[in-house]
Amino acid sequence: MTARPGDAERRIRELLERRGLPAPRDPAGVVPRGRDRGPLAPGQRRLWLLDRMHPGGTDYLVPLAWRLDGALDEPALVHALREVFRRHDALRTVFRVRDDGEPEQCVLPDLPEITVEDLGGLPAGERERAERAALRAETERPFDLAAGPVARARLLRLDERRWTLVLVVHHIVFDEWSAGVLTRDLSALYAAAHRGEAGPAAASGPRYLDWVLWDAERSAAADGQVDHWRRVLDGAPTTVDLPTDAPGGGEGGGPGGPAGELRVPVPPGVVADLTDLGRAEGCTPFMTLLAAWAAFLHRLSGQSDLVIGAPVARRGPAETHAMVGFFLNTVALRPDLGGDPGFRALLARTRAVTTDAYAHADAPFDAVVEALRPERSGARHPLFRAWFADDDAGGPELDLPGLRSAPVPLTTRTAKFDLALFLTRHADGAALILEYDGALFTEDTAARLADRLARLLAALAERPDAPLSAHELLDPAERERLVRTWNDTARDLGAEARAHHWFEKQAARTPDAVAVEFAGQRVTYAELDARAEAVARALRRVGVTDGTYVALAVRRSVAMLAAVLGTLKAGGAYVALDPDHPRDRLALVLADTGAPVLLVDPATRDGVPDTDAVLLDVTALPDPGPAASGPAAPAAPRGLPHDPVAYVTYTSGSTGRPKGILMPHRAVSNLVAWTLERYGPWEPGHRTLQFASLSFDVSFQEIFSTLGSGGTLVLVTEEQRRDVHGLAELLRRERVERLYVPAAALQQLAEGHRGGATPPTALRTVVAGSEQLVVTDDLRRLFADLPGTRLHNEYGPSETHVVTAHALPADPAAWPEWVPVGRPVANTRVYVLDALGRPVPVGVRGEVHLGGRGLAHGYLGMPRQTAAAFTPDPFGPEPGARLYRTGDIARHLSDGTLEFLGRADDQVKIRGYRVELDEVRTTVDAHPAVRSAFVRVHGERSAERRLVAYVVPHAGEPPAAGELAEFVRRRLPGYMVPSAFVTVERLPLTVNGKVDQRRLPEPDFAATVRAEGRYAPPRDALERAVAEVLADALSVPRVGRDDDFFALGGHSLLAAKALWAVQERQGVTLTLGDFFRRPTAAGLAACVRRARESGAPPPQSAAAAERPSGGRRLDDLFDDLLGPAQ
Amino acid sequence: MHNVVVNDEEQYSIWPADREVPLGWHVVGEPRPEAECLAYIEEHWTDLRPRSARRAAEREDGAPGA
Repeated sequence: MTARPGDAERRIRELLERRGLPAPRDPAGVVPRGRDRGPLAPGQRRLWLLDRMHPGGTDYLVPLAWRLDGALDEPALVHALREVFRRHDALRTVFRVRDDGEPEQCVLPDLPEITVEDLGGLPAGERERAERAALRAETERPFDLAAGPVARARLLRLDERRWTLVLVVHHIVFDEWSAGVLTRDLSALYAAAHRGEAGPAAASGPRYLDWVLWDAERSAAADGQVDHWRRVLDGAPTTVDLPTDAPGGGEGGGPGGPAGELRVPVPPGVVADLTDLGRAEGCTPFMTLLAAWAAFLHRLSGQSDLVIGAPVARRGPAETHAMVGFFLNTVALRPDLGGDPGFRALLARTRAVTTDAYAHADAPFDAVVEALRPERSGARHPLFRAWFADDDAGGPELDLPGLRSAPVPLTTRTAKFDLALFLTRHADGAALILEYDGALFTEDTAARLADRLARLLAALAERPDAPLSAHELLDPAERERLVRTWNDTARDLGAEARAHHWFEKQAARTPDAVAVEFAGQRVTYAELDARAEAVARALRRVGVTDGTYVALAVRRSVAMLAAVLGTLKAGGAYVALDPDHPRDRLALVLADTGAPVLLVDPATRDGVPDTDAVLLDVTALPDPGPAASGPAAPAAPRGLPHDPVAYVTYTSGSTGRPKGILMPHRAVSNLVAWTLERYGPWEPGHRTLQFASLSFDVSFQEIFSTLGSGGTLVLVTEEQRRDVHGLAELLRRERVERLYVPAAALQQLAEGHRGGATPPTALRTVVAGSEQLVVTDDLRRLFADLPGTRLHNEYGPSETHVVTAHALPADPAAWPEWVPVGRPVANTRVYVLDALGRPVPVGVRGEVHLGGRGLAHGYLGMPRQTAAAFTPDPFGPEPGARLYRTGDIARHLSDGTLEFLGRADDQVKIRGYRVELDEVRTTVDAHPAVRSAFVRVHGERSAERRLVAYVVPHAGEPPAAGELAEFVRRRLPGYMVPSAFVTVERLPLTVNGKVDQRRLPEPDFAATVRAEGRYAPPRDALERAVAEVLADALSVPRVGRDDDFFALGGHSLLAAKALWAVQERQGVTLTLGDFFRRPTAAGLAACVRRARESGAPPPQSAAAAERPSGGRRLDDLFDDLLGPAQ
Repeated sequence: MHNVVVNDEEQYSIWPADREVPLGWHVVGEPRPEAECLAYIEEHWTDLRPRSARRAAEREDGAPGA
């Protein structure tokens, strides 16, 4: 927007008038005041502050360099340079701190240095290298703003006819326009000096400092303008979701990388066509290209709301036109892209937005930032990460008589924006330069972006009235790759029609092989099959037939497996109830499925809710007897191609009701077939840990892939499963070869390995899932010590079976931090689609849609939700096929693997569990004292994530946090109970009427306890040390001696972490059971003392023996590990 | 505006009215707002099992000894 006064400015004035906006105040009035010191312009002040924060930085150096070819008059050039430095105050300015701490700029008489260096003495081949080194050195040598100078020149002589001139100026005294002024002056002064003349007279009148003072007076009157910006930018997103190459989409907010530049390959005439189109809509070229840039960013990101930064040259007064100095202000432009406008309509909108911005451009950008208080993300720009500038003022090229001069491009800068577009003009027409942050984009990706931009610009020029969404970003080859090549997964793997047939066939093949090991028992395939048949018979007797739902509340045991297999044999679908969930929740599931039978065992029998269902104790069925324990032939297929439901899993529902997912046999049988192919070959008797809870779909994969391939399923007691720190030992002792594990539990395993224990070397295959796998040093170390073990990452929501898989490289050193989820498995298809259901280009975010054989039938008794989530598949080869819309956001990497990036909605993962915030909110809302509620997640990293409920009470006494927690605990599983309840008078809203999360108070996880006045200081050094560890883990300032870790918002993953820290510091071995029994600083200190005295950890069985209060929490942990349905 | 659509398995879904209906899906009734489409489906889609699964189950229910 460095629009020169003249045409563009006149145009803007007209536009302002047309909209009834005040024109910028009279630009005249910069008068000479004869000062050589004064304040800083607001933009200068920002650069000065940045320099103080990063002294010695070179980000804001502006280098200009030319190669000169011809007979150079060296003295004339030196003279001209000196004269330029003499004429422009800005180039002789230093920046000092006054006694009151404020910076001021002082103009000194000293001229900046001019170095002349002769490289002619070097061998011919080395001169160029020396020249390049000198250029680089110039761009890497910082300025000292306080001591000065802030500019320097260096002239390199390569031989009689070849010279290189490099000028470096600090941005604080130099803008784009200044470069034109300087070049023009230098050309004229050289020409005169060469002729032996004095040169054109220096401009008299006002100097740069005069403008600064004039501008300060104007800005002081611009208070109302800041309000304008606050209004315009309220709630604006600071980022644009760009297809970066950085892991996880590059939202790290780290410092920028080196800036790269590319020329956008726009077909000839397109920019001119666009600017013509713009002119007809009353737009300047700046506005037109800004609109096109906005359209591009919109299409890339899918965002209809985004902010683009742009410079405004405040060189209104004619007196400033020949000045060198820093005249820029920055504006944040928020074009309106809503409602899928056509380009012509967008032009009109952009004109309005830009005109508004011009009219309020007196507000210093820093004051705007200050007023908006954006959440700052590290070194990144506070309000926007995309930029557009019209480098109209590139100005005349250096023109020295008798010499040919060619500019040397020098990219010195650290990128200040993720992506920037510059409109430049040359003799041969307009060009667009795309500048990218090298830390976010590879050169290839940037080149692809430039291609796409060029294609979109051409399309906009050709069809200006088509909605923006109508323009295709993909070229046909890329579309083919995305839709077909990468989804070419159809294969006949010989999957069984019914999932349990895998087991039955294996039982017929190897009846005497060991199918299950559990607590010292070894059960053969034949025996397990007989027990399953017994269950099936019992179920048939009570009327179970095809499609009947059979509820299961059986603790892990051989009987549990017999119950699963028996249910399937009887034609039923099993519904696993988690005996640890609140009774209300279990009752709801029983009612939802209408299961006529509930399989229990003696341990769970008393805990199940009242129900009309027949209770069958699976441990008390008639002995199948020897006749039945022989090899069983697979049941004859009945009624094919019937595809009944195999199991139902429940997952959190945003309507406040959990959803039962109906998973059919055909889908899960395909999964078993794929698993066997993918992870084979399978040695007889290979050992897999049955780790996942039956209510999670991964358990199906563990059980059926093992029992379908002659392996042994290693069952463990509840007790063993609960002990995170014992997991490694368990794997070792049981010689487990294959492990399915939630990413969070794998992380714990890796952290535990830090202690240097012997690794479980029998492991061959570890499959992580359920949450984004993030590779840490601990994880690399663990697998470096397990050279025979491969780590895999799988992805798939509960509405489908596993849909993608990724094998990490054998060498852990080569693992990326953010692990992709991989490529589609056999007979499944993955599409990443934009809001209009079209495939997005590689690297661009979109919503994951899944197709193929792995899809569930839908949600039990929820046709509305099913129809909304399972949509027609417009891409697949089978007519009438469906796609499941996951709500997951992901992108394709250029090798075709998928990278998971987050959620499109309010679904979150707490300790690996899928939680709909709305379900929690609805439950909190149901408390009679609550008028309205809002629930959000606190904490970024998986282990630190906690739920926080904000509650607006009805008039009168707000309910105590403890009471609310109890209320929720009775209705929802532990992982869905908020860790803190914050009472607020009202929920702050954004202009759009959404809850403004930025204005919600920070939760105080310690408040519950403090409010009850229970803080008791630790009594001795040990308690103090332990309390500090706990406080640290909870991120609270202090923890009292008797404060309950869990009441303070702790959860089991945090507990495991804290316990680990205490062990390391105190040099003792503790178990989580110790901690859960007395989860306080005092209790833990006592355990440390006991452990020291006995010299050994307390026996594990103690944890089982006394768990009246600890039991609940142990179960929570058990949830954590066995976790997550996806 | 959306259409209520149904496939040969009698599975229902919705589809934007301005987009070509994918192969194997049939439009039911007139285009209407999304919420109305879903309300229609809520009322009419009473058994979420695919038609082939339902028919097989019905056959077996009626078969002696099943």
